[in-house]
Amino acid sequence: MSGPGWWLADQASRLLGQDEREAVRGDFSELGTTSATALREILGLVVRRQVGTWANRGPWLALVGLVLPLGFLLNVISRHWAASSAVYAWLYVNNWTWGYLESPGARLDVLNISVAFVRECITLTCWAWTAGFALGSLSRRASWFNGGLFGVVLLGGTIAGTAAPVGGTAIVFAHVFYRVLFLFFLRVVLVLLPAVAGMSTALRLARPRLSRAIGWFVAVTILTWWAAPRIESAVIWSMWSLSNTDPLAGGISAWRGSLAVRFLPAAMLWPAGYLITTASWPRRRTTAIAADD
Amino acid sequence: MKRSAIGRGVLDTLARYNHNVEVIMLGEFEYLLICATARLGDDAYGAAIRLSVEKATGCRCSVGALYTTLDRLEQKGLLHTWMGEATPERGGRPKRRVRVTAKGTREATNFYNTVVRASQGVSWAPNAGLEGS
Repeated sequence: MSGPGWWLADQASRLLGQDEREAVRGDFSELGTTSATALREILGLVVRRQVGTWANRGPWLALVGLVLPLGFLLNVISRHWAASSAVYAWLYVNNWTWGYLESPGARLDVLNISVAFVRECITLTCWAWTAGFALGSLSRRASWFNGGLFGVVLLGGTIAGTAAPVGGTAIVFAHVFYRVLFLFFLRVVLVLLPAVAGMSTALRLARPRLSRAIGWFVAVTILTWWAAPRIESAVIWSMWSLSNTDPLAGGISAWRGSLAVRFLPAAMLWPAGYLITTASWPRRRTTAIAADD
Repeated sequence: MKRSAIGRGVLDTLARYNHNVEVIMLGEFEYLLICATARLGDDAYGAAIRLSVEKATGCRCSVGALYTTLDRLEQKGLLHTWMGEATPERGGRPKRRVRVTAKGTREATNFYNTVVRASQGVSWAPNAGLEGS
């Protein structure tokens, strides 16, 4: 059972559960099935499993309540935070002078900006991990589809918008590093990878420990409370950059301070809330997994 | 308790009203799998059941149809499956072994009796000419 055909069949069989994969591959060995037939049959089984999975409400809830809204929110927030961090990085890295540390006021600025940057990084990571956990836990076998779509929304959701702010910061974003690489790096390292880690944890664990779930919820709540004002500005900034209109133009400025925008931070909390629910209702959770698998 | 019983009753009534035969009896492929499993006894597992069904029907049985139906029958409590031992002829991979439960035997018996009763008097049934004599 070697060669490119069997390699393809083996890759396709990774979309099945481990026991089922072993049983099916064993059946093919025993029956002397050709690689082309094996690939076709495995794909047929995968399609049947996917159809069965999407007959449950979990993958749909993950798609509608998490992949699209939270994927887009994480996209715009990480983009906005990366853009503002890029300006400071340019200021302090590309234009470094020891004068930044000589004056007490400038030193305090460096400290405040560094602390804010670290806090933003931790906040993004926590949001992404909890979102990934909820995504994996709700999607189960549809994780590869919902996870892939989450990655597409995260990395490409604002691709049609203005690449970077113009005006006073144009000199910063003239650098390809700050305009493209810095943004991409931040999204991949601080959002995509933690989301994948959260998803794989959810697929590995039937139920997280309650103490850890509470810890995640408290951490995410505090971080979200700190970040709430910046979430609003990130969304307004993103609407402006996507529409390429004046940020003070009627349609967009009407959103500033609106109830919908004020409630956005709560949206970032629901995956952490789901984590607690999953940890504290073991019987219901086990039943859901059994029904799904 | 009472509410869930009422709910189940309403669902059953609706299912029957919509001619959902699955609620009342097995599907024909489900019946074929139970027959093959019962016939094979202790040697019932994925590949053997597949060969048995193909031999009985003369039609190809896909892995997708086999394993999704086995899962469905297990969820209904008609079959029990577990991962067996790995063997060299299977490349060191385990078998998914299958056994018919008591409920599965009852359901298969009901299906068989229903088909026999429904077939009485039709031209293709072996005892067609005997009816009424």
